[in-house]
Amino acid sequence: MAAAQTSSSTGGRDYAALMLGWLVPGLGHYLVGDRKRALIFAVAIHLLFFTGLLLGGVRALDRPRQPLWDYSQYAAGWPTLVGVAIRNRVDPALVPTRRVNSLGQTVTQMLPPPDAGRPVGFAPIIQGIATAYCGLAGWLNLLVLVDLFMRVSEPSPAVPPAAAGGGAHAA
Amino acid sequence: MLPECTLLVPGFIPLVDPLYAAVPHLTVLWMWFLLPLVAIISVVYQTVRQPELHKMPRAALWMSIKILVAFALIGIGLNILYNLVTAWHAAGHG
Repeated sequence: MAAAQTSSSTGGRDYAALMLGWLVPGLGHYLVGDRKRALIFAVAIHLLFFTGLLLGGVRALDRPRQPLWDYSQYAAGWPTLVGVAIRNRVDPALVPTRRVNSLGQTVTQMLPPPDAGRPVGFAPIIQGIATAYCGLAGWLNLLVLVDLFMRVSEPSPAVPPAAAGGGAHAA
Repeated sequence: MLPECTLLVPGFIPLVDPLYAAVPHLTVLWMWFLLPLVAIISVVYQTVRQPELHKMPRAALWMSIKILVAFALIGIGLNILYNLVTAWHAAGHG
């Protein structure tokens, strides 16, 4: 009974670690006590995400017609949530703009209007790499969450699973 | 030789605006951005997999090398395939 109470008392904390591990990459491992791995995960995933943000700007997030990258970016937690909120405020109205790409082809891309007062560019390769950076940061956070789930779902070695009633501990 | 200073571009905000808007020649360096991507993926994966953390750096380095070699081989293979297919079409078989 003591074992059951112990496992149920830590179950809520484990689920909180999973949720917080999604919201802040690395925080889940920190909460379960593996602080070195938590630091590595936090630095690596945030570095990957913000490098993508630096390359492509907030337009690297939540791109239209790319649901795979959109969903994986949201797996990265708070950086995506904040980035999309900023994007919706500073880049609200994209207009179709005809540009000439590096191959000399005239193509149409959704860009901020020229009078928006913001610098605009046309580099689909770099934009794609930036989107991939942010999306892969989300995939890595999912991998970290799977590892965290495996850790918290393992039975505690200090508590024998077959112990019942805690009779041995009563004395 | 320093590249264009992004701070001199009016209205440019790092992390909000794309870097290539202020540094246009960044586009020719696109292939180099695969290196940090592969390195970070290897570090995170090996940190998850390695039971002993001190073995992670070497394992991550080895994994990065294997991934980059695989990329190169796939690229070479696809290039050969592309040349063969275009030559086959040019010969009038397509």
